Amino acid sequence: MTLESDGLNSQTGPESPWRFGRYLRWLAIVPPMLYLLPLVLIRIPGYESHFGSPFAPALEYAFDAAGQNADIVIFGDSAAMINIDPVQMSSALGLKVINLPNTAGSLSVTGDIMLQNYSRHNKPPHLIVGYFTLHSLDYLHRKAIPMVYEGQEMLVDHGAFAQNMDFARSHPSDFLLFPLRFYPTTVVTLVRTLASHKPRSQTVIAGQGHFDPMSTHAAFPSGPCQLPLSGEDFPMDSAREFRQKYTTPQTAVLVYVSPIAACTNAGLVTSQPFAAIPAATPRLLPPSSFKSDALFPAHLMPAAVPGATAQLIEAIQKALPATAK
Amino acid sequence: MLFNSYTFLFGFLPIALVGYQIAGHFHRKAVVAWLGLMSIAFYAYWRPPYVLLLLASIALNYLSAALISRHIPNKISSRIWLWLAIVLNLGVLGYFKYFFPLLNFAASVGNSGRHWSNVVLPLGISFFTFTQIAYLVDLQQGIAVQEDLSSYILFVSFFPHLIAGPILHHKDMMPQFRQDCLYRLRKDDLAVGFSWFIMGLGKKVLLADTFASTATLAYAFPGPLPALLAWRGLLCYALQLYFDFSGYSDMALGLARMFSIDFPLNFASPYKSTSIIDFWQRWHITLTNYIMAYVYSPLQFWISRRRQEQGKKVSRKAQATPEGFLNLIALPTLFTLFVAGLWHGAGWKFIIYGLLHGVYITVNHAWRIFRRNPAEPALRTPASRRATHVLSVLVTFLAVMVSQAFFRAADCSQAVSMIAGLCGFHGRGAFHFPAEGTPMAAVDLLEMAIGFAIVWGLPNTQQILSRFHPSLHLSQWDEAALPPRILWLPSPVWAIVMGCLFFAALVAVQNPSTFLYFQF
Repeated sequence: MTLESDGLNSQTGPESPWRFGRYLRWLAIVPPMLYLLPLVLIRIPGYESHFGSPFAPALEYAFDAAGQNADIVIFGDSAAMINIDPVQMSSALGLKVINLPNTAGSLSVTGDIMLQNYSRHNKPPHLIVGYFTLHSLDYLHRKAIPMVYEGQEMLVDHGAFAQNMDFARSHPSDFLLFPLRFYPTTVVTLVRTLASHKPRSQTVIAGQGHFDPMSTHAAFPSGPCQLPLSGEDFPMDSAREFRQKYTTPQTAVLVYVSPIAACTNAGLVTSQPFAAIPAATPRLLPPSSFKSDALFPAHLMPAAVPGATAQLIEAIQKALPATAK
Repeated sequence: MLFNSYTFLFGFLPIALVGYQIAGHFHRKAVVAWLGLMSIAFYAYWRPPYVLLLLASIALNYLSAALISRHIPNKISSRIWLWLAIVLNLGVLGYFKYFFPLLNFAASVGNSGRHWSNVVLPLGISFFTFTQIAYLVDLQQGIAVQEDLSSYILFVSFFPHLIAGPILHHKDMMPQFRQDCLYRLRKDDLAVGFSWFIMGLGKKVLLADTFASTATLAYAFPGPLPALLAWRGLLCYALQLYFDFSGYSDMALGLARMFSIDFPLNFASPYKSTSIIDFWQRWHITLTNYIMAYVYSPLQFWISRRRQEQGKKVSRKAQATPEGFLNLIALPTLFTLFVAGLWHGAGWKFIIYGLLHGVYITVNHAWRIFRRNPAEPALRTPASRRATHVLSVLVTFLAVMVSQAFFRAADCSQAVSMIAGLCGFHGRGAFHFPAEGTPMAAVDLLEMAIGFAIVWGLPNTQQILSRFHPSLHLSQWDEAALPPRILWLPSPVWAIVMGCLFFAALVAVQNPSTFLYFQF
């Protein structure tokens, strides 16, 4: 099919027809180039640490953990990133502890590729802790994934082509929209980076994977509260499979469900069959220990982190193989 | 379907263009049928059952046209057929747009406590109803001729104007549909049309939607708004409405041009107006032309004839007497703007919006007629002419902004409260809304400054495209000479600029919002 190019009518002025053709060709080239540009930029080393999404420095830290050779590796969702302090754990246990953080969204997109990546470049740890919130216990099979962007960011940078195509098949609209979401995210991060005095990646390294991008959030209101639950069941297949997959003669696996707010309907959570993973029933903490999240109170205020970390240390001491103690 | 959606941009529009090109290889009627079919599909995407209403409206009016023009032989007066068709058209429009609000009003007056839910207003019903009434009126008066069915369907339903105008006139469109030389995609028209579409898309998603959030915050504010917030809210709404409607009009005209069809201009930098009369010649131009042709002129003609029968004068000199001014200017103006207000919707707020503009225009006319010894522009210094111009623009804008308080408000009491807030009756207050911080308010202020710099400091899109005659005709203001650098050219630099703008708009389109004029 060819477009008409001769016999210009009087409306078009004195321009030669070929100039309109050239104009349309240029116009057709620019948007696709801008669309594909993020896929190149993201693969530039260090890009995500400075310009990526709010969680990117922490997620990137997990992929840059070659040669860490930690004794205990923590893997989980954003609760693992925010609620526990690996530095405190290292000093309490006398073992090297690092966190390979994720978010609920990135966990669903990238699965455990960062842990596989870690395993390739480090000696096997004594213990892997799978630290998940209630909603992430079946992270590989979630239908509606919240905050999918940061996971895609990691997948584009660190995932294989086939993994990216798998994601495209399962989430076509998220896959196609990723380059369009890239620009506003980058602009916001750029503004925040310019306003901040301390590089985000340094904060993550100093915390051995502990990072709190929600540090300005207010606390969950104290007093009687209701968790936003309606008595639904919580599938736990991914956590169970995770435990089976990584348990080896050298490495034990502990699945730990992050604490929940002691609201009046907390029984809906504590009554879930965690033993099937197996995992302990999540601890209850005062509601004011949590940040006021829009979806579900899962992230702890900074003051509550040492206490929650101490509880995890206690669980780890029981789970550690005798050879590591 | 929204112009600012991925479905339209990457699905509907490419299919429409490719089908247009293929159909063009066969016959003019194939092209007209294709565009008609696509337009019906465009309409059906929103709410499929309402396509029946659109098709019924077209069928009814086409039948009326055949009866009026005697293509279907009959002995009944064409005037009777015309009035029957008008009553039916207005009856359907009235049912969907005014019936239930009127019932609720009656219930509230009668204190019955009952409330009727509104039916869903079919998109674009006012536009396609008025377009067809105008055609029938002109047909009855011998100004129009009976068209073939496919051209008529396309004239009424052509998707770029179907939902929110511009209101097309048959004498502008039918000659274009009849041309055999069209109906092939042309690079020149594609380039001009798509560039104009991109500019409109940018206005909508990058500017209008940005100001919408502050306007929404202001109108959702619990309690009376203090002065600073009222000013922020109304200024942002003024910008939102401007860029929304201007963006839609650019997109509609650009889309039509991509199919080598020129639409009439609908928007010509109205906030640059130096008077309210000037404003209405720049804002929703096709509606102004419509009500002038089909409401104001017949009414004024009727009044003039009555006066002549009573032995009274109708000359300009007669208009300069208080009695003549009242009858020949004020009454037709107030009635016409009352109708224009009512056209926007049921409810006192739209009536007051229309009447307020009627009063403005009447005062404007009075100022022109009764002002004594106006200083000759030639005798004033350039500085004083400039100052007068700026003052005129600001006063006109302020008057328009006050009227928009009624246009946007949920009801009259909210609009009055808003205006009271503007005047400082609710105190000065803080500059930021409770839901936002000071930095956000500062960013908003910067965005408003950019918005007004664009509105008042830059040429409009038809001026930028003026070398390529983008619309049927340019307004008198758009013909002013511009620096050549600002004029659009099919050059690589302009292509890169437009490509970047299009991409930025695609980024912003992720959460598409409807156009404000869709509700009319």
